[in-house]
Amino acid sequence: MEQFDAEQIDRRFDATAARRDFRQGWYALIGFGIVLLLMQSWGEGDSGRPSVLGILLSWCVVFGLLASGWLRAKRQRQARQNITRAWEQVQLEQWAEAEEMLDAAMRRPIQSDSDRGQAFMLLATLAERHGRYDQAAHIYERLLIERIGDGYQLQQAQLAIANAKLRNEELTDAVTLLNHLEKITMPRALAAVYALIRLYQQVFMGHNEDAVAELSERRSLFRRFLSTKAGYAYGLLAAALHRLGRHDEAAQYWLDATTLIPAQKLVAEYGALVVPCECYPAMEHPQ
Amino acid sequence: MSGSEAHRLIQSMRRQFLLASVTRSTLLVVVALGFVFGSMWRADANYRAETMWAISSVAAIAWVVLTFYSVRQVRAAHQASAFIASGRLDLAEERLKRTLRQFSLYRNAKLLACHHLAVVAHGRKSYQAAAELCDGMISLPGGPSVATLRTCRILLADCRLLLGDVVAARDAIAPLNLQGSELNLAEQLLLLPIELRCQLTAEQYDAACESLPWKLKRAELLDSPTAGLVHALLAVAANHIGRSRMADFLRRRADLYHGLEKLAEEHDFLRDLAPEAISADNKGLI
Repeated sequence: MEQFDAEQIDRRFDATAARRDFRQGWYALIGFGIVLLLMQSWGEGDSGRPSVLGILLSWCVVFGLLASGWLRAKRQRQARQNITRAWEQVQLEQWAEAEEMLDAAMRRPIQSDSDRGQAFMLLATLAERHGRYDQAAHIYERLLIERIGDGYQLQQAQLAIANAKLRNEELTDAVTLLNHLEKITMPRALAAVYALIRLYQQVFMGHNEDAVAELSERRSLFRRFLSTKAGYAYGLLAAALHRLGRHDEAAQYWLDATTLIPAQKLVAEYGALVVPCECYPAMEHPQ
Repeated sequence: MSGSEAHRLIQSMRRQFLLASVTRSTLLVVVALGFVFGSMWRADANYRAETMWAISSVAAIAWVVLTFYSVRQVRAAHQASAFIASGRLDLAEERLKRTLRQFSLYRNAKLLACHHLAVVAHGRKSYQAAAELCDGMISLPGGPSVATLRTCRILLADCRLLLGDVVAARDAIAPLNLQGSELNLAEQLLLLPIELRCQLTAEQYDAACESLPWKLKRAELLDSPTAGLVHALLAVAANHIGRSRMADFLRRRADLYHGLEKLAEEHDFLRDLAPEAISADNKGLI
């Protein structure tokens, strides 16, 4: 995919950067100066009345400035709408439509930092979808270095970069980052995401005892904050329990996982789930 | 905040809207007259033209000042939404009430503040107050934007349901079509559990089970307690129309999301759901 090359991604960062040197305040100030100048130059005609040309030109400048501000606001609204639609398509797993929407949103500068952050988070999600975890990590890195997005988005980016590095098998970096994140206080919803990434790292690296430690607390966290995605966590726990020979529990966890998410989707997301998929019965989803 | 206080706020908002309209019209007329006569009249010893220009300029400046004042109110409303996001509902309520009592030349600032205040009241379980505010906004002539109006209707329906008035809840969401293209995903997610509750109360089980895959896809995107609720409601509906296998599957999922017993505790109408021990949570495996 061309749009997930590093060069293309960097170009998108440049294209969406807000032009902060042309702020509306400056427009207004310059406009006000021009209006005053025009009124002084043409304000008094020979007849003792203000010249019509002067008045018309002054008002043209004022309306021109207003129209320019309105157009900028309209473009921003359009960009925000496209980002929101892209987010909706990602949620519904309609990837082609999401790419289209995001492409439209990222052609022009995005003034709001939070909107820009969200757009790049979505782009990274699409890169991950195409298996380009290296490029996803590149996007997250730039978001963090340039501090694009609000505080919550930046914390999400930190977690996502750890996940991307793990998927890219940059294990040392991933584990170092996860150890660092462990010390950071974060909202419980993000703590659940962190716990899922840590669980995957433990299962992937064969630390099965660690993976099933504090099982009850972990399960409660997944259940409360991951909603349907808790299925992935149950699947990974099933894999760890299976390796530890705790087959009854593994079977039950696999059943729970497949009740929330179909087995083929679980396996497509995490290769480590092939074994429980082959060993234990999955929940059939009635039509 | 009580229902009567919310009612008074709405009444005061109506009066302020009228005052704002009168002020806007007056300023516009003064500016226009000053512009026309100031241009037409010759400068003379009576300073008529200059006086007209001066009056016109004062009116224009007053307009600009009042606009800036309104923008500050919009900012205050946005700041209140930050308080809402961080869970400081008390601070948000205080800020929003203050904004609603202040004069604004434009409606948008007040409508935004009123909408946020309804969300805060709902969050603080003052359902009567939230319903009054939503009702007031919906009935305002030339009220909020279409998108805000939809959210108001959904919020109003939820409040009415929680207050036990199912008919009013159904009336509130009657103009909304859950699967229509005009609703965005966030609105669909808000409306889904409310519409299902209305349908189940009216014993419209077939309607509740219509487009089940579409509804399940949306339910999967909800937070755990709401996803559990939607699955439980769909399970009840599926059971009533004889789709017992589907009902069992939905019940299992509801249990995994939030726990059947917990759901029955939180929602009286789900008390009949069989609290079977299905998932590992309830099987004592952990």
